Amino acid sequence: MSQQILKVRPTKIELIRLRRRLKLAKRIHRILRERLTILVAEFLNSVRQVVDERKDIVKLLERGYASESLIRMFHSAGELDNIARTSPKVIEVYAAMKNIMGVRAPFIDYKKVEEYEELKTPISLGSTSIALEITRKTFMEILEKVLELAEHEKTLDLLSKEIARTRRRVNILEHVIIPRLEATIKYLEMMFDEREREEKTRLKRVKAVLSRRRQE
Amino acid sequence: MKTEKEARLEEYLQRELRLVNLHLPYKKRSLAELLQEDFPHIVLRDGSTHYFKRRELELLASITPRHLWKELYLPILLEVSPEYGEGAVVVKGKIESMVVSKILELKWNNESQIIIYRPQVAILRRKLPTTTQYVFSLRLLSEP
Repeated sequence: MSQQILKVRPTKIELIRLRRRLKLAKRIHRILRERLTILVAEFLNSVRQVVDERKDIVKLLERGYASESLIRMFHSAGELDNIARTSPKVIEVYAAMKNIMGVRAPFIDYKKVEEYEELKTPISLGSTSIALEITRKTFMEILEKVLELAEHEKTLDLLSKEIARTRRRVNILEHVIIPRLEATIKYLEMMFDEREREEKTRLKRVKAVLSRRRQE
Repeated sequence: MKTEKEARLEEYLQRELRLVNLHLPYKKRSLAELLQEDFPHIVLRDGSTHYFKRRELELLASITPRHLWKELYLPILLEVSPEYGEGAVVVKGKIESMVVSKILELKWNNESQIIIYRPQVAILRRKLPTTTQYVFSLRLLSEP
């Protein structure tokens, strides 16, 4: 199929046009291949990040649940509910877009807890414990990591779709468009060579006939 | 005369060439300017908005001398140049080269451009995912 030739008029102008188109197709193929390499590198980078973040989250969750079970020994469910209800807003998240090589990926950012003095849980020695503060900090870390993970996982998904799309284009150029153009150019060149040879033979023949007539 | 199918193919090829650098900004903005904003961002050639992470800007601010904040324009462009090998990118600009060298812990001898390779690019992109951007060199776009 790739060796199919295009239906074109066998003229020199058409040959020039085809050569120009082949040049353009090859240039685009090179750029798209380069783009594909970059997208794959970005994808692998994101995969590594996602794997690391997932590992971190699992570790943090283990720590968080262990300390949570510890605070449940010190506080009743009612006390914990009370503390949770009176705690101020813990994190400020904003979402927007970022662009990776033309792929519009989500962007999630947050303001760190340390930036807010008022966010610290009000510790009164009578009603709360150190374990509570440690648990709060652990879960804050988990929240931050989850936000990062959400961003990277969505980016991964979008990158994989773009890679598939770009690979398809590269393959079309590599296996269909460029070979067809090359085959058509070759066909036209052969046809013109053949015409030239025919013309030469005809001229030789005419010359021979003319010289024979002159001799007669 | 071109048939409709051929015309479409040519249009498609030309469009691919136009689209390849559409993710670049209309205008770069300085680090000093971006640090003052609540939501630091730039407008791209395709009309979309690209946001920078505040943590990245703070990292750049911490490694760049304060008097150079106005001269460091973001995003830092990573120029894809296959002439230096596959996966190689060139970072142009004195301050940009200095910043990249500091992040990658490379020696910087006052060069106005620096060439980095795939493993280094991966580290750089991991540390500065929103403040760096790939760009296809004009040579790559124009050469046959």
